[in-house]
Amino acid sequence: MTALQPVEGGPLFVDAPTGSPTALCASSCSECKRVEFPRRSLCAACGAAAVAIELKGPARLRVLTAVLAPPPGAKVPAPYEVGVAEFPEGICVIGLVSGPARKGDSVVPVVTEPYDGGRIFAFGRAG
Amino acid sequence: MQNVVIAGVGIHPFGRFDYGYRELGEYAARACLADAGIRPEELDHVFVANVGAEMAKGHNVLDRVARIGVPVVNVEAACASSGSALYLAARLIEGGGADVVLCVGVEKAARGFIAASGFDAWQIDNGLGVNPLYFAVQAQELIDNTDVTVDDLADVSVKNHRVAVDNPNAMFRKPVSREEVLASKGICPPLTLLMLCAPNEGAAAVVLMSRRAARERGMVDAPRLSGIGLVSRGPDDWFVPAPSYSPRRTSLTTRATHRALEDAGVDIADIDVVECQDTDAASELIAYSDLGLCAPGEEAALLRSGATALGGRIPVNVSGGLLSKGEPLGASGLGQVHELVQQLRGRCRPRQVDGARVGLGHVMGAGHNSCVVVVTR
Repeated sequence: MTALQPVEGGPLFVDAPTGSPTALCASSCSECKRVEFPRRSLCAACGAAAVAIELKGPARLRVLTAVLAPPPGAKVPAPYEVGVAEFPEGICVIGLVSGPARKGDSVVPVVTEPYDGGRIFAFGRAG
Repeated sequence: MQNVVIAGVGIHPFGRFDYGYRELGEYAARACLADAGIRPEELDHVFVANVGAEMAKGHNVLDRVARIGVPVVNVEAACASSGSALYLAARLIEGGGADVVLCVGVEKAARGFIAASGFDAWQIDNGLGVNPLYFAVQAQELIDNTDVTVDDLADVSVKNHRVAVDNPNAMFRKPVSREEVLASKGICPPLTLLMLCAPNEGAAAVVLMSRRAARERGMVDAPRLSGIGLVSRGPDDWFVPAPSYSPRRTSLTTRATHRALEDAGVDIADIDVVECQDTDAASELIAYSDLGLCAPGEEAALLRSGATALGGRIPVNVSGGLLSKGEPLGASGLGQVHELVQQLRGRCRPRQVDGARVGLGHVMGAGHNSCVVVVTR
């Protein structure tokens, strides 16, 4: 079994240059097969060991919404778009949207820098 | 649950005030004790629900009421805080650990978005740590998966504001039109400002009593807390602040409802009046099916039929709901119980649900928790 970082300490995504495709660091339970993001070392449902997986997509942009007013503590200037990407592994992930996108689009995780010095995953159109 | 009587209720109106949470809580506690006709010295135990105040909050509220020396326990579970306090009080009485228990819910929330909802730093930094975003995800999925429209979302708000005109405890007491709701400031599409509740200030209190203690005081017709269900996150539940979910996610509300109805020995069809967590307009519609008022996919039909309006088959949020009252987080659940008890007493004219004998209250909180209560006359 692959040794996993604790949820709090592990990376959210595989490092890559800004604007490049990446993969989300998730896990899959060795017993019940539930998928978790962020990654966990033990399954939250059944307690069995979880194995590291990467969510590369393409995923379906299941929800597309936006935040139109700045939330408390946010470093990202509002307004900005947010989407839910449904991955074929069986998990929906909430994240920023990079570039033009429409609901139902095929998307992949990409590295984005929504504010100076801040690097995070986002969902951008595949291809 | 056979042994828990609601001996009294009290409320401080929900809104904005130029005094502190201690005064808000004191007001509701005193109103509740007066309603029950008991003295503070008769209390065996006190639970105080609050999210954002200082340490020893309940003790500081009670210090303004009376120094009676009984256990005071503070309870926090986000929007389900006061439901959780009620759960503890009811179970304490049911288990024989106390006869007379006061529950107070109180909040003095800051204006604007709620901060500190349990989000991780990366969510907050990147603008993903904001509750309405999560409600918008639910709203859009509801629209995608059912025939609910944005007009229906607006109509929930119209329905709840219409009755709040006659609720002196509500913060927003002006009727609104569908057009006004749709044209109000966009927050997180499809949700506009008037489709979302406002965090605010207020307090509510309930005195629970064992049946024996109530009988000794001659309370023969008091409503009973006949069922209560409190649940936290199961393997496939999703709510604020989780950044991911299963496409086959399950409902905390449904599980809490099953437990409460089983506890009360009633069916959802027996319920006469509902107060549910309309944090946003879509959440009320989602609650329709999660509570079992309709089948999944029939939420819009239930709303459009008028069944959930005052005078309908199963009126929902005839207090005006959180959309009109605002949401003082720690007080909202007990505010619902206050409304249900007054409905069962027949004291809510002109927004009285005729013949109401069984009421259901529902709250849902960040961190994944839900509480459902059944109140029976």
